[in-house]
Amino acid sequence: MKTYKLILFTLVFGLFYGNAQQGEVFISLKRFKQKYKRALTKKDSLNFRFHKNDTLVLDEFYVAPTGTKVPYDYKDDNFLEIYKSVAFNNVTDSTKQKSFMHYWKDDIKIYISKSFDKKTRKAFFDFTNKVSEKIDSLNIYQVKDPKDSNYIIYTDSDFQYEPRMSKYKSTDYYVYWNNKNQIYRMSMRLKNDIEFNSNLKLNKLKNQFIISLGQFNYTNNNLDCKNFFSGCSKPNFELTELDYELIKYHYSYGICKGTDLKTFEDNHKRTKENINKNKVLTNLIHN
Amino acid sequence: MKNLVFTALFLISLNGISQENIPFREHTKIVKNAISKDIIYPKRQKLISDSLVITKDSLDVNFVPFLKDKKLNSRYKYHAFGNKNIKFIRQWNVPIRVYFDEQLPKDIKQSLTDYFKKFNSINNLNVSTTKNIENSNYYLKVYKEHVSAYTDKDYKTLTKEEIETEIYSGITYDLNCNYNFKCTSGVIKISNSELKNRYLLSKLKIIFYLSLTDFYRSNYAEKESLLNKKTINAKHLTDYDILLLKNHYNYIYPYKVNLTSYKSLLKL
Repeated sequence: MKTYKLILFTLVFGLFYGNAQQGEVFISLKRFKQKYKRALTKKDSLNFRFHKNDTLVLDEFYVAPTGTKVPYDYKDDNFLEIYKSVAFNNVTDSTKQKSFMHYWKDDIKIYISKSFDKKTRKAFFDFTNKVSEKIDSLNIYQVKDPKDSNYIIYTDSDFQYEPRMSKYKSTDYYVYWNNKNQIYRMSMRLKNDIEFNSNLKLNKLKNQFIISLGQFNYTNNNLDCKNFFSGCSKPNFELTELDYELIKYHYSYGICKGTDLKTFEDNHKRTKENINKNKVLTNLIHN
Repeated sequence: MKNLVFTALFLISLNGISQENIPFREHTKIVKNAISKDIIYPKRQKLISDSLVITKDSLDVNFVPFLKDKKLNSRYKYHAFGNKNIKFIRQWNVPIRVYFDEQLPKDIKQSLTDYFKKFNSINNLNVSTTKNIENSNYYLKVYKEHVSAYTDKDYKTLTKEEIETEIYSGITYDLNCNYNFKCTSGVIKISNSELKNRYLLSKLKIIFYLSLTDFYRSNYAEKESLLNKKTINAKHLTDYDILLLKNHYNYIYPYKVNLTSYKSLLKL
């Protein structure tokens, strides 16, 4: 039993991300040849280990990857397909594998201009509070002073907080993120002549707010229109269970955040193969 | 025999192509704890996860082509798509509640109110007016400043008559439509100076019609039709306008429809 555990340990960490603290990492012969592109020496063969029908060889120069270990959050393929089209741009375009997901690292502190009537402001914050309550690692709250905010909502008749949008002809938002794809500032500007009453304003606020939580897209799947991410939901929409699950997953501790699509897909492919073939649950390494 | 096989294969593949362009609606259901995986490392455990079950429905069981006439259908395709595949059908999928700016002359408001009633004979289309802006989703708004689809440079090339009659001279419109090109609110922006224009009513009738359909106008549309570019004094909806509108709103497509998918639907 002890031997079995040792072999399993080496297999797991040799094939995937080894644990340098344990000292020795063993990898398969196939992987050894791929990595070092040389013939085995006598010294190598002295350190062989055997597991089932596999020969494992000591990887002397193994360097453990740096980064934070993220416990894997398992999701089925149907869910992941929808998630990818929501969180990454151009999922269907194979030439644009370098599309990134974006997320808020810090609390979202929203200032909303007083030019929105009280009823609209209240309804909007009821909505954002509900989202905040449902998404564990996402804190959203209202601030009374624009200086304390990182999320400003105003109209074209207010002070123009984001000069880059002052000449925009339609309702829009402007978002800033850093080189880790962490969103740190955002402005939303509604055009009074297009969103000309409080119902239209509220609907636009809710709509843009959800999109702004991750620079989200509407999905390419033809989801039922009751789902917000279908892109065909009607005014006065409420988020469905699936909508919430997609946002929850985006902010889950179990995925590497800010990655590009290829890394996301590779991580899932490797980890799922490991679960299905080897019954091993590995952590993801997030840099 | 060889020819027969070839013909059969050709027809199958043709059928395949047409079906491909018509998407299926995906209904989802999250089944709690439906996935269970045995894990032996780092510890023996069961990995439990939810499953997302997707069932697909054909979206087009209710689709019945409205226009039987080949020529009229061909006209429809021109107006709706301009024979280009990049354009998607635009439709309203909520009742339209129009609010008039108080500055609009009374007779214009009354004429338009009567005009809007004609649209209620169209399936899936409901137009009415309201005196409360909070209940509206369509605003005919008068602007102090000049609004126009034309730039100052464009205006230099227009004759005085064209400035008066061109529908987007002094008037524009904006729509709020979702990812599937379904519209839920809109504004017609009218320059204050247009209030004196004798063609204002005609322009508003045409623009309102276009805001429901996003149709292209053409010189080949029937005489007096709002869709005929030569019509500068539109009085009413012609039979041609109504037929095309009926075809447009015969079915509210629950997805994006371009020329290819429209043609595929006709083949169903």
